[in-house]
Amino acid sequence: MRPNGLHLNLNRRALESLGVYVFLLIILAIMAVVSPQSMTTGHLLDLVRQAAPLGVLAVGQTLALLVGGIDLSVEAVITLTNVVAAALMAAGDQTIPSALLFVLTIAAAVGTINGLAVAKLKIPPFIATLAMGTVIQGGYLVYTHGSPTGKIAPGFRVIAEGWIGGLPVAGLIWAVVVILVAILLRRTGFGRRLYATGGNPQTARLSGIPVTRVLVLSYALTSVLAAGAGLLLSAYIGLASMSVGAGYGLNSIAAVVIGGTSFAGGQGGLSGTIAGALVMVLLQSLLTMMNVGEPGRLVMQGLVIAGMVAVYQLRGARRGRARAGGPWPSVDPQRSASGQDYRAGSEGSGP
Amino acid sequence: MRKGWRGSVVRQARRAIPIYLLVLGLVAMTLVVSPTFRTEQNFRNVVAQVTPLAAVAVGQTVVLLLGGIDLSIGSVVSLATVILSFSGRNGSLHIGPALLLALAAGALVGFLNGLGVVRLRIPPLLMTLASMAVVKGVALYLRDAPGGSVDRAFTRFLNWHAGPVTMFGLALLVLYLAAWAFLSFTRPGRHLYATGGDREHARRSGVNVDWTTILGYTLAGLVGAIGGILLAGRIYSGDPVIGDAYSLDSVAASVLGGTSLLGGIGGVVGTLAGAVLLAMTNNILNLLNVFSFYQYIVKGLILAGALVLYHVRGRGAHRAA
Repeated sequence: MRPNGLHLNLNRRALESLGVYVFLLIILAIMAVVSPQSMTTGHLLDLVRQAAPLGVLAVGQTLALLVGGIDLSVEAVITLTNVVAAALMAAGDQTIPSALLFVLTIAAAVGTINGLAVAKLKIPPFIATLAMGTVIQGGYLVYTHGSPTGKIAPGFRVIAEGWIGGLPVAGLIWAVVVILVAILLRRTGFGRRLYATGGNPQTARLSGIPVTRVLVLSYALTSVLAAGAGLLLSAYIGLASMSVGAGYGLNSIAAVVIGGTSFAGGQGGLSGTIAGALVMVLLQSLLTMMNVGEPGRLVMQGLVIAGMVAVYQLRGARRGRARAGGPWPSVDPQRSASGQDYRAGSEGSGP
Repeated sequence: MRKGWRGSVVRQARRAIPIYLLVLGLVAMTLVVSPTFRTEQNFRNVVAQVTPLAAVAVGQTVVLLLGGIDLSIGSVVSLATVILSFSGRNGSLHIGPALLLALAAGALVGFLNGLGVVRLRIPPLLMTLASMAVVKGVALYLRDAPGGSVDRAFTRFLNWHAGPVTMFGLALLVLYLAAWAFLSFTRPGRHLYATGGDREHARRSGVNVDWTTILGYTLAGLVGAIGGILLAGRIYSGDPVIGDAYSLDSVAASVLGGTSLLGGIGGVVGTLAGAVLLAMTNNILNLLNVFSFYQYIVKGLILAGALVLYHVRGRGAHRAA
């Protein structure tokens, strides 16, 4: 990190997430035109409530991306959390604490294994978490024999359906998660080490950062937050379902990158991710309002992802060109050699 | 990269030896244990099961060699089956135009992927994630549920067999030979390896890396469509979501076959064995009456195990050099 680097970084980070907020405002404006009656505080807060599971999950995915990785196992963790929680909570409210403890412990274990596979076995994060997701999928299929039973304790459903002082509980949980993780990233040594590891694992290692521990902790947190999202979704639907996590894995990645967190690791933050998650949910809701069917929604979603990322990349490239002057300014040669394009991430090459 | 083409072709093939041994061992073991596995009928089944994934994996390998990835290839498979499903009775397309349209659509998707990666600098994972959504949207627009039918003469042609020889098997053989020859012995094929191995170095040695990248993605889309056409020959109809699993499965098959996610290392020789291993795991576990849900666990563990293996070997090679 060059002198003054942190200060510049913070300013630039704030600027970079501006784009997604502008986009969010545009969606809200269109919403106001298409259906003025939907622009009530109550409805908007309800949308926040609906966005909370994806929001919490995206916070976790941000950590994985910041540390230079990616987590494709979150979808399986969500479903696992759901079927296990439903089975354990079937007996009623008194089982809630033990069920919570159990699912969060499983998630932490899953994340730890992900982190160890990436840091110690040097398996690219993309494949390590893909394999982990497949194993978990098998795990819950075996556990449920394909037809999950049980239901979420009625007392627990408050976290998705409840309102406190006019605010949705799910939204408040999301806010607390964001604040806690933001403090972790910005105000602690761990946060600094996480950014450094994501930025360049080799340099981080050489400057004495315990890269393995940082990676393991990051992936463990990602999985725990995925379990948190799974709990919110469970409280929302109230029963066990094999398809509860469907689509959330890629949507969380989309939310994070729309929010401006770089795929190359070490750049970005939560401010953009919040807006990214809201954009994903509001866009769905807006298109539903406009009677656009599933095909149209998918096409829009794809165009938004490609469009937002292209904007970030081209802006980054312009800045980079002034510095480097090559035809591939956005890719610094050291990183391109380690194949950061598709998340090789922490690949520590060398004999 | 060391001197000459022959060295790298041999090295590429040598890298695939363990996976072939694994497949052979698995086959030998199952031949002994399960009498059903020995039947000609089951052999044809396995080939037919392997075919779509093995075909799609060729396209995925090409993109992985570039250091990229193609998550949209599964949607291209779906789209191709949907387009072909308009060629049957009461359909609006003749089989000829339907085939051309499916291939052109696949190539177009791939071309746009390449353009996005090269010109807009969108990371491949995100670019193809976006196009996956768009292509799936188009497939769902054309057909919102599985249905339609594929031209009878064409499906009869694809399902032709004589003894253990099937049209699916022949098609696969031709596709792999063509891809292998292209990657190993043609100039654009070598440029693909060079670009994936070290982009900057390739560029300085006069390789048009942008064009090579776009070509690679276009080929992947085209091969994805071929996979979809073969799949349509098996299901006789169109299905807008049938291809979803192929995106990640094809990555798994390529990686199992020894193609590095970092680009520049590997090839289709190993991919074939990787695809066979993935498809056969299911077939064998079924024949052995293993509870089908365990198959996911086995698949995940095989994948992780193979990666660790390649990594350990890779490190050994580094040390030797």
